Amino acid sequence: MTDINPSPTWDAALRSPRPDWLALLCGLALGLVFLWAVVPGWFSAADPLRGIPAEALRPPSAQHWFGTDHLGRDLFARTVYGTTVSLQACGLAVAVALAGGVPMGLAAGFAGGRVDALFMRAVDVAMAIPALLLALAIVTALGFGTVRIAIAVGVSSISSFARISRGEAVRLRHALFVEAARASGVRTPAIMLRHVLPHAAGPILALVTLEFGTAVLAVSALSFLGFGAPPPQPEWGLLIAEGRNYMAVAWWYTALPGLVVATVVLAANHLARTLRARSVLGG
Amino acid sequence: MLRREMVRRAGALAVRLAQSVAVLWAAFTVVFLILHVLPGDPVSIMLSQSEDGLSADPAQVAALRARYGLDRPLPVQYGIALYRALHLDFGQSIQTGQPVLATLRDVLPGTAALASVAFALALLVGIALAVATHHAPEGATKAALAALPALGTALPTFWVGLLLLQVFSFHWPLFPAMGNDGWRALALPAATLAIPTSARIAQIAGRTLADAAAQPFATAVAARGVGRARLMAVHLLPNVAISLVTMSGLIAGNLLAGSVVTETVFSRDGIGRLAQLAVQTKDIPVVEGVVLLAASLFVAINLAVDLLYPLLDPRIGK
Amino acid sequence: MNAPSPVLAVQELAVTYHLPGEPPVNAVSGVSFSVRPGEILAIVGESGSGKSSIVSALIGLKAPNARIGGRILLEGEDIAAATPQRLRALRGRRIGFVPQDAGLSLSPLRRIDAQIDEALRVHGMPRHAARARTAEILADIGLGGSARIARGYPHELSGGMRQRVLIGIGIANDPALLVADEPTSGLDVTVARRILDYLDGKIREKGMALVIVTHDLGIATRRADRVLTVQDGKIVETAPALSIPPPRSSPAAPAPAQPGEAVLMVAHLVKHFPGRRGEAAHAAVDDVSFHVPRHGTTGLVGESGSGKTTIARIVLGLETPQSGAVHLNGHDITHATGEARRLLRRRMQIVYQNPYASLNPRLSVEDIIDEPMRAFQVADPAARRLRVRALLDRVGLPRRAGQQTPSFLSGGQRQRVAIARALALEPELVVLDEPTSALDSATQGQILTLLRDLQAGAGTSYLFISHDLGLVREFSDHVVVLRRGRLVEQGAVRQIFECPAEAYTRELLNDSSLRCWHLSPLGKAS
Repeated sequence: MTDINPSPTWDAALRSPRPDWLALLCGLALGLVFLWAVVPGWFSAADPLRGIPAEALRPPSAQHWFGTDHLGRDLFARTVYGTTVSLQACGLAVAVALAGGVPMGLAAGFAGGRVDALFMRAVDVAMAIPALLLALAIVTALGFGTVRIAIAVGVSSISSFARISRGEAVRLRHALFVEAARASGVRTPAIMLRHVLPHAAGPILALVTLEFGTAVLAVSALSFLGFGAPPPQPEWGLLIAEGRNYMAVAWWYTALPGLVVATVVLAANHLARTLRARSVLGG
Repeated sequence: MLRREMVRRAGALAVRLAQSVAVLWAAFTVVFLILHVLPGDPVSIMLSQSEDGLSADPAQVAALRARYGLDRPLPVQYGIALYRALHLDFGQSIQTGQPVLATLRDVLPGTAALASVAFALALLVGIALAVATHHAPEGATKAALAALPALGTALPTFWVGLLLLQVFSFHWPLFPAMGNDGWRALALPAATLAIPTSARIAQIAGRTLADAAAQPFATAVAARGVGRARLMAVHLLPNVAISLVTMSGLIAGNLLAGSVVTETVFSRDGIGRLAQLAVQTKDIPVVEGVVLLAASLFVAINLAVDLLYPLLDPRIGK
Repeated sequence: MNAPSPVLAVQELAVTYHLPGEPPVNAVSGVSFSVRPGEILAIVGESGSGKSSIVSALIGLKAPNARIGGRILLEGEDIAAATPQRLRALRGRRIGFVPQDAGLSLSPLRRIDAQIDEALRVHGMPRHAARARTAEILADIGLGGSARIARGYPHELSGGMRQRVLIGIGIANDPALLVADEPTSGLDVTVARRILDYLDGKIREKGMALVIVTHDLGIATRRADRVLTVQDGKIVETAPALSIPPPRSSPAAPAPAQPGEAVLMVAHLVKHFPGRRGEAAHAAVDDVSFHVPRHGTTGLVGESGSGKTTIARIVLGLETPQSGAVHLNGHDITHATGEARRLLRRRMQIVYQNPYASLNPRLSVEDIIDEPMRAFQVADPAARRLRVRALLDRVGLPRRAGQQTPSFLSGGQRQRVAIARALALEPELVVLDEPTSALDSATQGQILTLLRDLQAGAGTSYLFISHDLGLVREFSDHVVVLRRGRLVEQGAVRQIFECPAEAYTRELLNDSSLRCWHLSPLGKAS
């Protein structure tokens, strides 16, 4: 019987007199980037596709915050407009991983016994293949394009989602208050609904946030490698890949869009850790 | 008694070997299914890559199918592939016509050099960072040090590589921007690959240190008059070593996966770049070969760890 | 007669913890005492009383965020003001430490002899001298015979052996002061007694001063020369051990229950748990039979690992025994599953030891109490609501507590919620699994009084599980003594406590009978 004592973190979260400014900042950063994806026009007046050849490879300035690229296109505009494609891809990747992994993991964790043993063997196999290489194999089969790399990234993350969901399920299955409900005569469906799912939601939300950061990294890496959106389209990984050819003369071309990617991942990861610590069973 | 113990150990070893073989077989099957069952069979994938793929002559398609045995039923194809794989025959690269095994063998040393230098660097930096964080006085310094691993895992590897290139090859031409020759060409790629790995090592080491230091034995040892340095070196770091060894299969897998991006950024020959090119050109046998290589590496390391474990950790049954 | 000067003199000790952004917390204040050579001082207090802060200060290992006020004079030197270097030189050499929890207090990856050797070598003893002294210490603690043990790792030793090693390390350098923090918690009573005898002998022999910190008054009064009681960081009482009141006379025995009236009959239960990694299966419960009389209480008593909790879980159908039977009102319920098992839950409920873990932190107190009635659709929601309020009244909780989540309640209040939930269906049998051991002693008394009142009112039968014989004596009609899964003896409470037949029971009684006074705030309802 595992002794889960949820109260300290829960109490701390409820009663914490000081707001967590860093987590708030991370949330705001992610919110801003999300708005870029939805209404890029609000944030950048410049056209991400049409450049002014005379203004090619200009360094960052008040007019062009991130400078311009080799065709004279505004890089800030391209970064902002690229968010739409990049975030859609990451959202799709997380959705695929979530839909594929969570039900499997929860089922294995709750069933226990042989089902769980079988599941763990499958996890052993999944862990043997690094996620990026698995994604590459899937991309080879599915073909190139943003949606396809998103699916590939999602599928290759299913196992980590499933593994962590199983862990939560096992912990909850052994939680004393779940056993107490069973000993009170509560039926299994009601236990799942009232006692298990509300507690699994927090850790899974944390996992989704964490996975979002991982997906941003993986999707941009795959599109950097040349398997994503075709060139005229602005997209984060592709943007950085294009800048590769001008590194010697235009540092901003790769550095600044990359900084946005890094910031988003960092914010997502920090938020995920905060959520995890604050979710009841996070301890 | 002794004899029975030996029989028991031999039995455990046999079970462990069988498990390893089963994992490899399953990994092989997964890769086969991905590349042969998902929409678009290998020939159409390969042809779609060539310029005139769409207008490919049906006779040509049929010839290709026959050549790669793709006209047979799937289970038969699978059986043949498995049979060949058991004889270490992974087919030929479609691009070069070379056997996949030979192709992998040719580029393996480059990646091995990169990965081992990166790993050594990551181990050094990661453990040093964890120890420094552990010893830092409470406050801003400690918080800053503790935040570094999270930063390291959040940076896109390809971006870090490009920044290093920009600074150390273009701005100050200290290291070559590409190529495989000599240690100077190894420095930047190894540093790039070492950053996420060291961050992960620092996280594992930091967590283990914190756990071990919170146990009563740490207080008990300090109460004997043992100083901080000896407490760390003799009593706490061995625990870190154990947890890192446990994770070494995953770390190796991450290094191999990281080499795809790193070698592409620095135009270095190696497994990673081979994989990138193979995906680019839809060279299915090579993609299959790289993934299986990664899986074999993981399985082999984990098997070795399991066998060596009792030597490291006396608590695990001898 | 001139008394020797004290080894340790603590004057106005204060320990304050500073957390960033929060007001400092005074864990200890105004504590003064002294100990002379060959003297044993016991510091007694509950968890959170500040005794661990005193220990940390005495052994010179305060937490980084702790500040120490006052003076700690060790052989005339103030160690509260000593530099870290000086403290390190004193630790292990002049101040020996014997920690609690032997399972985790030895460095797990180092051999036993190396750990003793280290304690000597860090204080500058040459290699060969240290080797000889290590062998001497091993022989002295009774582990000298076997090189296999000396060269072994902590996990290969029994708990008693590990505790001996820790004592050996503590006295390795013949310190002036030995600080022992709960040196016998978690040990079998017989082993604990031998350990304490050994420690006792060493102190008198070497003329060391011993400060022994414990929550166990039995140990304190029988072993120490003086007892210091600590509460909320202050000394509430300093007394020579002899002045502690003797155990109260046994309560009047209730009418013995006839087996025929039993609510619950447990016959020849056997439960094995599979061993880990090819180890032999271990028997958690081995051929145990007993009964619970109607309207009565059967106490299941034993140390940890005696199988008490496993038996409770089998009774409730949370585990299945390999053999044996459980009868409720004469019906065999051992193998009831599915809906049949669920329906049985209406007649048997449980109150767990830990009210922090057994209540769903997301639900309101009303929802928690309502849950069993809802599961069995006892009445319509409005009627159930009224009943929940009545239950809140009965367990002495304010009605407004019903709207809150458990996190806003104290431990004692939470346990009242758990009791209300257990009583909601008016079950015939309630299993009380150490219902008060997570609570402080005042709350403990209130909860037991409540349980007794409720039993008088509703006629519920209790299966009361405890490791505390004093509580069992107060609370049960019938006592079952367990050890390592086996039944030692059973009988009416008076018989067991006044003339126990088994040596083990006597040992157990000897260890804890002095603790009865500790519960005096309870009073017996009669």
